[in-house]
Amino acid sequence: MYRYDHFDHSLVQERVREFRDQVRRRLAGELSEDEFKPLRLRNGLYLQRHAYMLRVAIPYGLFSSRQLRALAGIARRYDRGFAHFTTRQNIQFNWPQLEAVPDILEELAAVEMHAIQTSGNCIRNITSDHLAGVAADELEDPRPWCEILRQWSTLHPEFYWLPRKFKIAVTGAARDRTALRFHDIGLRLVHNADGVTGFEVWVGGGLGRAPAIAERLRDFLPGTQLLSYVEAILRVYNLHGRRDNLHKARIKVLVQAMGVDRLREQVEAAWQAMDHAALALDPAELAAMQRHFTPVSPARRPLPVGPPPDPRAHPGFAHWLRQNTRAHKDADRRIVYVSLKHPGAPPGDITAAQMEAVADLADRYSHGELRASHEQNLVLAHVANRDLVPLWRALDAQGLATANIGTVQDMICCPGIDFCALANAASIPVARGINQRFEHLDELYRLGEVRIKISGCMNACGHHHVGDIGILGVDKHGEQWYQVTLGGSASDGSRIGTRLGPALPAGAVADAVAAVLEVFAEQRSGEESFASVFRRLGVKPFKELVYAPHHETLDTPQPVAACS
Amino acid sequence: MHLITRHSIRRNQWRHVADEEALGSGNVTVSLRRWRLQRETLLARFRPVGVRLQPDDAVADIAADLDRLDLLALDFGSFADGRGYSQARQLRQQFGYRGELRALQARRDQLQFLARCGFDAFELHPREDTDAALAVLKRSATAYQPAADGQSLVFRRRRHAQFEHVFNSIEGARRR
Repeated sequence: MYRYDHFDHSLVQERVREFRDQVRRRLAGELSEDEFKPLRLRNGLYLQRHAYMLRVAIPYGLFSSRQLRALAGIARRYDRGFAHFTTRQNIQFNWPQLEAVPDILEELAAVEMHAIQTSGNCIRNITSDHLAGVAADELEDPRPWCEILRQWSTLHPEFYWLPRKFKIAVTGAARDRTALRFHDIGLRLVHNADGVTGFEVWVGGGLGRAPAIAERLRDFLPGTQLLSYVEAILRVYNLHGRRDNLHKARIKVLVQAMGVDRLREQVEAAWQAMDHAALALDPAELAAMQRHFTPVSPARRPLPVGPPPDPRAHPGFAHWLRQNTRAHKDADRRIVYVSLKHPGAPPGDITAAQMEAVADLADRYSHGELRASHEQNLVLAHVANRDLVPLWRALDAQGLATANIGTVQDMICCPGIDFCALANAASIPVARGINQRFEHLDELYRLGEVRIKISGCMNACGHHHVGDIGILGVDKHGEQWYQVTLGGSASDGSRIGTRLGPALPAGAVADAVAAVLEVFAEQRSGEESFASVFRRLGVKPFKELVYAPHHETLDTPQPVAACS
Repeated sequence: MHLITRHSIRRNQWRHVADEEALGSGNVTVSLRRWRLQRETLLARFRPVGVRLQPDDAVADIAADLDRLDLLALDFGSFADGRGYSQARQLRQQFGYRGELRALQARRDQLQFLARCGFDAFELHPREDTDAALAVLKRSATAYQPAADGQSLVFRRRRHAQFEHVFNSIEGARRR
């Protein structure tokens, strides 16, 4: 993985000093809260319902055991002993004191981490495939490109005060695991007819209040020109994106207003007018970056050739092996998911003790490397087949081996009203309610891969638009209600979910999910996916069963506590 | 109002004249609209003249006149409106403007970014401390990317640093 050199170290240290001074000025009353807010946001610091929340960047989701240990230490000393992995592959602390944040940032800087641009109207953390470099369906490793983009976008002097936040994703695989077309810019690595590496460029995707699927801006952009072209897109957006209405300020609104063809003309014109040479990537510079991401070499640690461990040895292991591990491009290894979806815990949450245990396991079994997925799990990407049984035992002892990856229990869920100042409704208790309905793993396995995604407000941090089943918390006259959507998809064949019907009271959500899954199970042929069944049947049969028992109870909202 | 450059405090010699206000004597800046309406009158004064640009002004509209102007002053409207940064880079790098480029109502926390985008003078916000602002501009700051300040892309600087290292070790060996 990428290691800091003196440029990177100087930059984060200068930044810590600057923020320490900004905090001092705030505490001394030299800055009002209004003046301080945009400054703290660009350092990942939100003011939430009960306390400050600090979001720390995990660039493209890749980090080390040493970094995870440092995060555990921060959780212990500055928080309440836990942290939360987000849908943008970042990690959040919920209870830091303002006075302590500069110290936290200094500790992060010591392990090559920061919180720069994890919020605010600027270029956010670049996200990527959590299986980058190990997936069998990969054309090229996207991570060197992500790191190039990370450095270019960090403290970019021109693009620090954009109309709205700006999210970029990069993938190099055949199957999209990044929700590429729901990003402001989506970059897919391709080779042209001459074998030159470049990108298919997508623009204007996003979730939130008005979800949009990105449009294709360019079929092929030579990789060496990536930075100048992205700079041209950002310049057009910075100058022409709407600033009069917060809800219409994303680039997707600009794309819709002018059409992708006119946007393309403007971007190309801005691009032609720029100094390409200054931003062109030299092959030697690219190669230097690629060397940071060389694959784990089998020679460094000889592995036994032979079949993987016998799953019959333990039935629990067999389920875990099937659900929570994936094929590695090296047949002697498996990719292992660390499930942060224990049915009794908030999705994506992890305790300090669990972080330390996972860091030790990463050192022991996966070259000290970790990935955070946008589905809020962790990944150990290089586990030798012979280590699978001991790793499973160790994860199980920490409550991190629930064999539920890809199942109903593997829900994406934002923090909701329990933490977030923007939320209209709770999300964690909704997830818990659904988990209580689906306790039996056998039932989950029978249903197969089903993606449930829960957001506590329109901002859609829980990606509800693109779940097989999406759940959105809304406020109706001070009561928490939930809007259900069906048939969304974040990956290939990107689709925005269809609304099921009128909003449901909190107490009815788990029943509604159960009814939807009942229809799915009945109508499914063989291993058919939820998306396929929904495409065939449309919303009607789901709607009929969900609303059948509720005509009387729908008008009497039950408080959210009913499902917690 | 305090005016600073990248290195020092400077006395302001310019008056920002509103559209309906008399020009008077001395150096004045006018809005882009007034410049268009009274261009000949303004040039006939034989006095330095500047134009104030708003965030929604297209800098291309003033491009043909850049060598007649001694000052361009960019009004950001609000701290959070970042269009001026793109306007500045376009003026410097695309249209080759070499005169004074002044940021109005500048705050300390913006200064390094403004300077990197090509501003060379800053009228400070009334609440801003002049010495602290100057200190920010003098502080060294690591930058990854090129802008209007001659900085080169960090990947290039790394490669050059490597060459230098190799060169120095060859030189060192030769001397021994």
